[in-house]
Amino acid sequence: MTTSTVQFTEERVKIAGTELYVLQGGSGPPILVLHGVEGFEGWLPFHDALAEQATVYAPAHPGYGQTSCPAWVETIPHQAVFYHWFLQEQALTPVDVVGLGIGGWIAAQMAVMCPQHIRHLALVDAAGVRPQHGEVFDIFITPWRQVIERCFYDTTHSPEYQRLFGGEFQEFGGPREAGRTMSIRMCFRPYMYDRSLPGMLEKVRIPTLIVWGAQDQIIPVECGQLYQRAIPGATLQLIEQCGHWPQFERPQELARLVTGFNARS
Amino acid sequence: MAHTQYYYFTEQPYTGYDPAIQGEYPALRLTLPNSLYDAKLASELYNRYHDEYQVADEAGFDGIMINEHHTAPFCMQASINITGAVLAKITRRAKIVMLGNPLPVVDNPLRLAEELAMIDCISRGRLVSGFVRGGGVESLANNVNPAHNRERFEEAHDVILAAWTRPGPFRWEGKHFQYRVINPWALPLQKPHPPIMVPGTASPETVVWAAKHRYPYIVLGSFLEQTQELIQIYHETAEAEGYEMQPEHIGYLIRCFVADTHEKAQEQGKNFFWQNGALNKQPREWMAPPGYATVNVAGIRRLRAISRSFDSLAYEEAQKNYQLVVGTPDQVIEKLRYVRNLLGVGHLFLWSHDGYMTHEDTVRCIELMGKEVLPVLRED
Repeated sequence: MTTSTVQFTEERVKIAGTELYVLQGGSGPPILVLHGVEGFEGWLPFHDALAEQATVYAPAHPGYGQTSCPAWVETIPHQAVFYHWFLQEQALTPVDVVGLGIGGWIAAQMAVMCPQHIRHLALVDAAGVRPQHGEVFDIFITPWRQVIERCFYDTTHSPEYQRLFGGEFQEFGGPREAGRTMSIRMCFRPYMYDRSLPGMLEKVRIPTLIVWGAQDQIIPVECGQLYQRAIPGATLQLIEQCGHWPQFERPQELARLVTGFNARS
Repeated sequence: MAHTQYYYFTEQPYTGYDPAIQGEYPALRLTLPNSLYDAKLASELYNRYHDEYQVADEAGFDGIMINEHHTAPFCMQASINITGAVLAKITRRAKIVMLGNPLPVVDNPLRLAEELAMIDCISRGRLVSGFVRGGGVESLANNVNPAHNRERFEEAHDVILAAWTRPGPFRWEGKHFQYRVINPWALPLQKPHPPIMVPGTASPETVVWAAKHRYPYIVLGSFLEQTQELIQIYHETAEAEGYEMQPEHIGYLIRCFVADTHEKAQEQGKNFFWQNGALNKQPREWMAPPGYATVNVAGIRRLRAISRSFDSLAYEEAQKNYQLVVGTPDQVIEKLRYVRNLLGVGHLFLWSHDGYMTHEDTVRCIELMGKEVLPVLRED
């Protein structure tokens, strides 16, 4: 279990044809943390670190086990509409948003839709743009155990790896399977990108931090550069000795980067 | 079981590579480099297999079963409809039993309806149009979302049935398929439409779906006990639907090789293991990607005896549990009769060629089936 220093609560918010499962903790301005293809793994040390300066909202996306999927949510843009709906009903705007992997794609899409509702945007190893030189590694035809290993630079030195994935591995079923299914539903073809996204991102006028694990073996660092080029004024920060999941591998460093950026800009 | 129908089947294996390389790849398909493919050999094999279909037609099989797989050396039929079209012209009596067209991977089911209608017309009404979901890997090979597999299967089926039976022109606004105009000028000869069959190996939902539509469900070589469970599901669904399941609603595919002597048959029967366990050696993510199935189909499929690597014990066991029937006509008659009667099937599909069996041995097997095995089974 996580040794949390922050009190957090479990909420179920009736919204948009479902009940959003969301953990809430900390104090300060609201920050919405959108998980990626790894799914919802509960309250993380990463949330803990962010919660020192902010009120963290960590939901499980529709379709990812803890939140059932309304029939109308079929794509990443639908997820973005869903979260704007949530923010609107909870009166949380303007809000800071951190998107991890696929969650980064959702966050980028949210920024395109209603930039006025987002104060700061952080995209972490985000899906959504097509690399020009490399390829997004095909996680859908790779045994999941191998995908997990590949998402870390060094599993042996990651307490989060040990905590979340070190035990028995359930190959079939459960909430993780539900999340993988939802990822396939939304991101199978075209694989992990929307070719219109970079063009649309040019309208975004939000202070934006892009963070990438320098050794990301899922989404090439090149995509971080493409995001940076697309969003006017965006900053790109690499985390050394870190793979696709900085939230697990470098939770403190990632939280410091995000908190620092949000305080400065 | 005098009305049981008997069908000849081969997967049309491409044998021009060494399955021993299986250790180097996740599976002998999908990402297996096609630089190992020799089109000259493939050309010979296609033509040889077609010649053998003609022998089966003349030998008196009720039908010839064909199938389709993608990026799979164990099956050269990348398009079942092409084989079907060939059979329509080179055979005269046998039904052309497609088990089947993998509906979910098709992006234009209307085109499929047209092609099948052409085959039915050209063959003068001999088409049996089976539809399958296809294993998960077929979705990956065709880049069709595996999470939509069942929905696409059902909707493509509805499109095809509508195209065959509803007077056009009409519009289609479905979830996965939309058409301004459905109005094909190729309609099946058989009315209201060619018979439909649904094969499967494990998914209970598919059995239920088939039973609700009163389509024959064909179990593709699963273990007998598991097959009985699937048949029981059909039986119960039929009852709930208000009709009684008949033998014609159930079929079974069984590997069966016949030769003049016991020794010869035993030697040749080893060819069913020619891929040495590779048939179902696939990552779970290929066989059953997340969203593809509600049960652990991959786990169930791995249980199949024939998917083990070859050794004398595996060979013996596969014969003992009826995954394989190999022998002289008298020997196989007894075993086939047992399986047919145990399962109560109205359709028995005989997988009678595989691996490196020669043309001569295959032809002899088909002839022995036609002359000595089928006539006896038909008398029961």
